[in-house]
Amino acid sequence: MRRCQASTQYFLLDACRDSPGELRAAAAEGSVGRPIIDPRGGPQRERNAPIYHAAAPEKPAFGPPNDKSFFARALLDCLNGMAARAGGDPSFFSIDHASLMLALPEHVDRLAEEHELELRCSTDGSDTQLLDLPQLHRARSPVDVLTTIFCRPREAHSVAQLSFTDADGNTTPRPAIGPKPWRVTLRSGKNTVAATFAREATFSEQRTEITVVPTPLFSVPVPVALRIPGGASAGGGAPG
Amino acid sequence: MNVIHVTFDTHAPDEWNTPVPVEVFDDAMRRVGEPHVFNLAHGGTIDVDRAGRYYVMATLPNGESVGASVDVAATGDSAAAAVLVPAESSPSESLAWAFTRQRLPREREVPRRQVPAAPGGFELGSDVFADFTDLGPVTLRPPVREQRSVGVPARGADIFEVPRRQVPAASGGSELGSEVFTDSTDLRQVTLRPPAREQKSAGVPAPGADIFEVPRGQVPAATGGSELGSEVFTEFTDLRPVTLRPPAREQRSVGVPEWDVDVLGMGDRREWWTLEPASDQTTWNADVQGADPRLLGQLTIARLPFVPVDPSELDHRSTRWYPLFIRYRARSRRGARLSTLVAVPAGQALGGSQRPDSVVLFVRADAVSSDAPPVQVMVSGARAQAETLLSYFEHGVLTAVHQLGARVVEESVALLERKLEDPFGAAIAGYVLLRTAARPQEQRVLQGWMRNLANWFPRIPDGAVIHGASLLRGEDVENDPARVAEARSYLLEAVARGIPTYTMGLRLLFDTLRSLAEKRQDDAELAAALARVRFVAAYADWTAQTTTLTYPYPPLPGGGIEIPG
Repeated sequence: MRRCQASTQYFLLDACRDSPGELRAAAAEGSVGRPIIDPRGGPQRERNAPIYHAAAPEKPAFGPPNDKSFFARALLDCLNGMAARAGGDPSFFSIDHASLMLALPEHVDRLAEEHELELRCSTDGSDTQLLDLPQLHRARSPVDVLTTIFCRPREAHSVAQLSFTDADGNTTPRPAIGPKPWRVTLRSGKNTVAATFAREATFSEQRTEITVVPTPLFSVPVPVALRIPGGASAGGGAPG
Repeated sequence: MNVIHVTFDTHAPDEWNTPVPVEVFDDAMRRVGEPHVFNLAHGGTIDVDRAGRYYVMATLPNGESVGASVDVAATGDSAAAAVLVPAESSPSESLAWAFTRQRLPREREVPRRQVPAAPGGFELGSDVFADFTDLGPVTLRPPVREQRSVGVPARGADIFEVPRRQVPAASGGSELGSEVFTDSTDLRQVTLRPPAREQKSAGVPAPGADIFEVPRGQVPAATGGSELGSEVFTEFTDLRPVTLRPPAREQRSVGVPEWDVDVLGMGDRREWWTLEPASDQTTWNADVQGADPRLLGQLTIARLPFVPVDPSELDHRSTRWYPLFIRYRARSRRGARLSTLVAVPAGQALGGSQRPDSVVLFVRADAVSSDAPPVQVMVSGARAQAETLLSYFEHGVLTAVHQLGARVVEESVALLERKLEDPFGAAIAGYVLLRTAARPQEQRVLQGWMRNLANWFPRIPDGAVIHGASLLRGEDVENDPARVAEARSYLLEAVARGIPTYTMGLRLLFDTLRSLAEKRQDDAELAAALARVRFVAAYADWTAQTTTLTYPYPPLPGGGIEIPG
């Protein structure tokens, strides 16, 4: 493949990474594990050659029956915009290997949590030299953005009923109250995030309008103020 | 005043010098200007053209994004403040490096279907709690299907409605429900707890109704590991969040029950690799478990007092810098005994304000296969900036890599010149230099520095790997036999010294030796060196920062490394 003149090349090998002991022993002796490409003493030319693994070391990669694997699904979602980063033209957003390196593990992790799987995408960016990032794909606006919403202070987050309202006025509440940051997918553009509290809680309600910017991981800290008896609030209140 | 003042709230004063790339986007989702690089301690200011709403985003070395929206006012004298806070931060200053530079596994919930059913109830433990390393707080949840069958799960993971008839009697214990829970209507909005008698039989209830300490002796052994639960978790009603903690006695013994952790050093025999018990002073701290449930313990390896080295005393140098190997033995979920070796920079303390000791943090692995160790290890021992650079590299944050890479290389060169040595940080700089500065001219300029790194620290293989590999770079190398011969001798020297400290170095050594051996197929010495490296490469975890090898225990015979039993 080194003879291939394409400046951007993808090699997809969506595979498990569990290796039986016998295979390792054979690799240690050198009877298996010969490289399909000639070994080189490091890169001879400048390139970016990151690796995205479909599973953690020694783990299988999963997939639902008769469907694409979770890794493949995450990769497609990311290339279709979930790994996009904003830049110049707000009508289109670019996906590059570095943005993929941040978004893909996060998306796989969310799928793993959703499907209760021990699945993790690990990445290896050590064979990357070029600061200029070639565009792998261009996604049309709007795109889905992997988002994490959490309240500040953290004590407020554990008791907050969080919700977001998209540009069409549809409101989605956080499914369960708890200490974990709320990992959710938002559409790029205008959204409103709200934090409300039970009457006995000591925190004030907070509504924040945000512009969800396409980035590999979009973070929304919601600043929440302490409620002072009598209805006033102390601190916080600024956009998150 | 169209200025945004960016600060970080990472609870990480130890990491104050960490450079972080920061980007700003306007309300139309356009990036404003080029990325800035600030350090965690001071942040910085960014000028914007006009008033309006902006999103400020930074990427930490561990790959995590932190961001905040700010409103820049059209009037007023004060800058808009963007405080960037990670969703999850370090619980203490001494652990900040693990949260900022490296990435801890996620806390995870254990799905019910991974827990096999036991006669007379639900047996939690034989699979999930295969050993003590899994004894962090987990939320055990019945599957959705079972929740439906037994009633309506109430709000909160720890409240269930359990119809009486579905609660079997527990052998030798109380039957939960027979008195109180006579029908499902009685089970609304209650937290089900085992009665006091059963708590006593199963262990000592800790403060807090849902925390038990389970004495090891009362826990029957299960095939392939400790079975926690057959006494305590006999019933569905026990499917609440509980924190299982090993008793104090076992914590004292080795810190992590079912483990033995020891510290080994590379022996003097150069014909084959030998690991021997090291005499370095170590401290085990199990209290970190209280700071974060994913942490199992911290091993600190004391460093020798910092002494600037006289350039004429090369022997002095050789004894003051060396890698160690932490070995821990644990059972895989399948019950196989595994032995893992983790390389750690050791020797003399770094000068200045750097952390004086090497730190090894044991954490629960987030994706544990049946055949892999259930533990993950994080290591810190070189200069913080160099390790930060390594983390940025791994996570593909190239803006930071290029900015920081130049700085780390420059500092490494200067440190060696000033005899303020940090050979492990310099090794990281060397690896990054080989990766990022592909132009041979740039590398040639630093060839002398690399040679010094290789020659001055004879117990560290990494310097010889870097210098050997760098000699083989460039278009003209094929026509320079002397250069190839020198490269060969440094690569063989690297193998004779031992196993490279950094995974990047092990890979570079393996690839370079393989490449050279292909061209020199009659070179028996080279072939023998390649065989030794191949043996460890087959057992390496390529995602770890420092070299990490996991073998079956006892080790395979004839396996390249002699390890004490």
